[in-house]
Amino acid sequence: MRLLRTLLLLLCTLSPPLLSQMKIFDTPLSPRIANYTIHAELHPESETVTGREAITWRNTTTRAVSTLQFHLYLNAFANNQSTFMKESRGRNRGFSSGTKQEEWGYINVSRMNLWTGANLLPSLAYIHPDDENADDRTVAEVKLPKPCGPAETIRVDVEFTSKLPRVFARSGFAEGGFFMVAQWFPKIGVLQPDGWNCHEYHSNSEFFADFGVYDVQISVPRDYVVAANGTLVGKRRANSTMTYQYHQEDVHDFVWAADPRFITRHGVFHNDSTGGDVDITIFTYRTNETYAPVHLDAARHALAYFQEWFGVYPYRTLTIVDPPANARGAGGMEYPAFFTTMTIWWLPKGIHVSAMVTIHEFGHNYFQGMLASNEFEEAWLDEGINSYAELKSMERYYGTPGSYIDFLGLKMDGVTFHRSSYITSPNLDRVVEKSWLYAPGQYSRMSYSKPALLLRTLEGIVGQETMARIMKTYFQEWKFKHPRTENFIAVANRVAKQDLSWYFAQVLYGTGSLDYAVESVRTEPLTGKAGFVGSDSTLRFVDEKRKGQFESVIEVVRKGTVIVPVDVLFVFDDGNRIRETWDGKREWREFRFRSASRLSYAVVDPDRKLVLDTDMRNNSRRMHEERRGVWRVALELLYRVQSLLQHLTFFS
Amino acid sequence: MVGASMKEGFAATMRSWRLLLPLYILNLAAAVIVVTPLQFALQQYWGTSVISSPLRQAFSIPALVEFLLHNGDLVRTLFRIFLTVLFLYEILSVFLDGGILAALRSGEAQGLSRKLFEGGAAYFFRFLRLFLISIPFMIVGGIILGLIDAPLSSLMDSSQRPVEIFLVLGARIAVAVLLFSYIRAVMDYAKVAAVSEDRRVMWKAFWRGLGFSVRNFGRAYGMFLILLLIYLATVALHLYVNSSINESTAVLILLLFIIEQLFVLVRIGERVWFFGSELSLFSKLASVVAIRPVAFDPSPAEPLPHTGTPHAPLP
Ligand SMILES: [Zn+2]
Repeated sequence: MRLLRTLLLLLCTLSPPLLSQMKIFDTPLSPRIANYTIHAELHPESETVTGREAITWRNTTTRAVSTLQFHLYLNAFANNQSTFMKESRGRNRGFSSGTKQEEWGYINVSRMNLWTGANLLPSLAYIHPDDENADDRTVAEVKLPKPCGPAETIRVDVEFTSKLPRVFARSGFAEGGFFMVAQWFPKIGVLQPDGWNCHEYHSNSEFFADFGVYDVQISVPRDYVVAANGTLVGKRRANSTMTYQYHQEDVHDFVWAADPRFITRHGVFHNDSTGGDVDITIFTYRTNETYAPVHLDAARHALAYFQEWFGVYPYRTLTIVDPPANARGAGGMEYPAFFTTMTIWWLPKGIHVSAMVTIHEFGHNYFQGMLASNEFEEAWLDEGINSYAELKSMERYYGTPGSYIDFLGLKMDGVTFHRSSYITSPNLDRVVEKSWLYAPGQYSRMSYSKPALLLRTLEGIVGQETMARIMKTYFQEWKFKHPRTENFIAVANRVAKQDLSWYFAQVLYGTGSLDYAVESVRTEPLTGKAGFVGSDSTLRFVDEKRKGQFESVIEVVRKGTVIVPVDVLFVFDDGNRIRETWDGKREWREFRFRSASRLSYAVVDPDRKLVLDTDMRNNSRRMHEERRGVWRVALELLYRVQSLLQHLTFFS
Repeated sequence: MVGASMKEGFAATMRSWRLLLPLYILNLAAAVIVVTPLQFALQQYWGTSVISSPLRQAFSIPALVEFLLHNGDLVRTLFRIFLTVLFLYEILSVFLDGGILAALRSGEAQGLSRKLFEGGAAYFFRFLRLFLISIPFMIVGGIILGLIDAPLSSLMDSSQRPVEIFLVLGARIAVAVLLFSYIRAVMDYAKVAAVSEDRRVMWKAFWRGLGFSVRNFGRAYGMFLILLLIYLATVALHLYVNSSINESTAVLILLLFIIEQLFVLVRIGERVWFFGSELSLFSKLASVVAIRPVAFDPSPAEPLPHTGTPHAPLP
């Protein structure tokens, strides 16, 4: 029986005739360290996926390794003792976990053999490398019968059952037939020169894995529609099931979704860089149908921008899943060549949330998809750089200042969007930090908002053209690798032809904030000499008047600890403008001007280059107060309050 | 009869136009109490900064975000003031309802401000009691709404097309508005009954209002809905006018402000019109049934020297 099963498994996993012929890239784009062949079957009634997988893994370090480590992510949802649940208290990205029996999830490994037949399962132990939580079962370690040497390849055959939780954080099922099958199979960690990098599933962290080739067969009841991040290479019909066969190369994850209610819409991106087309498919619902073109169009534009700015999107497919309203926790999540977006169908089109989510998640194909940084340890490298790219894409797509919101005359851009998060607590953490070690609420501030702003500020410091070259070079040099913060800094220094370490040391590794202010302005008629001048016998009284001459004195201060050179603009009543640069090294500087006209106002950072500045209001000071703007606002508010009070009389 | 009552109500409103002035001034004063400290704070914060320059053209979210995030405590205090004013205004409007009804019932065109406040004072505690009596009925209304809404809500979840969802959502809103309007109409007639028949026992007045609006369901409720539609149309027109004026110059800002104030005045007038029409309808229809409370009253053998206002007139 066992022999038969092993033989069958070998037959299915190793040489399915279709797969051997399937090849997407003539030369591998990545080192292809961890390769998976998986057969999975969805059982909707029990919300489970049963699977068999063969992991072919290569030791690319210079040392032999005697253990293997695996992520068993779904165990995060097994009970309230997991690290994920303890950290999140059952809430993630605004959604809550369920508490009924069927709402929990887990992954159970029932078999784990080496290709030699050696049974690894008895040695399986749950480890908790990040904390003291012995109840966490999201990382498992097994002992190899003999060490795996450098450059050696091994194969591990695994059988597993994945019970999906009710969707609240990325993976799971939702009533009505939706299944988001993500982080669902035993996945090998990343072996680094200093050992395994295989973190627990944390509330505030995403993932890290090696690239490889995925061949996946998925069996579902016949009425189910399947979305996956591979190229569909075959399908087979049995009595009540349908099996879909997918192939994908040079990715570090495999994900799929299924729902009998899915409808699909297609788009094509003509890829001039590769000569081939990218087939874009969105899996959505009748309710969200009218939004399908919004997502497809945003994705097409994002593809064009990212190719222009960073480099080629090499995959032939791009799959978008638009989860139903009762599974929004699965929305807005990225996987290679696949992402989930979000549709709030009743939201006015002027609030660009749907397009923003699509552009952001598409961007992750670059930042973490191809530049596979460690999301556990340096989330800013994916979320932060991607937020910067998203901000730029939104500006290009919708124009400023209404790139994020352009509704009823109210306009908001990405800089304001990220500032409204960042400046509420700019000093609590540094950007480069393990994602589960941030203070509560700081993860999004430090890994999304501050990085987006600090990169936009860097753009102001080195110039747009240099910044564009930095980003392009970083992508070209590090695609299909695991870049770290140091690698990004090194690229920036080299491309900018200047040592920018002083900047990164302050904004990436420091907790200080940047705040320049015009502290005081003064302008008055210039007086000549007055009083007794000369000495002894020549002592005489003078009272010189200098008509039409004024002296203006402006004090500019640095209130934050972050030091960045800053421009200061002085504007005079006659329209004359003077621009100076201040290195900001001292805490303050005084500027004095003699001119034919009085000073009108002074502004630090007049071009708004330093968007990291935590207080924009104090960046300028006028000689005379401006009243009309406030009056306009006050009159408008007055009427709105009157109107509200008037409505209230109907409740008395 | 509804048309005639609305016409009479309108005529009464026009006749009592002087009533609108104190109502408008109170509305404006309450709003000024809310907005002035905010204006002062905004001026302090934005006045010397060039960040306020774009505000002359349009409302600036970036400027507002800076203000809100850097003045958390102040904003919270201002918000508390705002809520307090809302609460006090709600109490004030209970007072004013009595005044409006008393002034309208007097049928006079002069000395209305005095009547407004005298009437308000006369009926304030009665209307306050009425307001309290209405609370359990509001709760019952809420429960009924929940019961009606539950199947609609599940219908909405299972809807597949946006059109269906919009229709169901429209139905849910309509049910809520209709139910609330009915409770509102009952309350209005209870007040009308209290004033017309000078009732002092408020649960009886409430009962009378309820009885009236049940017996004359079509007319009482229908008229309320017609008036409500007119009010909502005014609000919609107002929003439309508002959005079509781009206040970029000082003159336009002032023009828009004047238009807004006229709209507020018109809407206050519409509130008075509600009461005028309801008074008229009540007097037309209630006189027939108004014998009943009298019939239960043991009539005094001979007129007493100090009789108060007589109860409902005999036919
Ligand atoms: Zn992201």
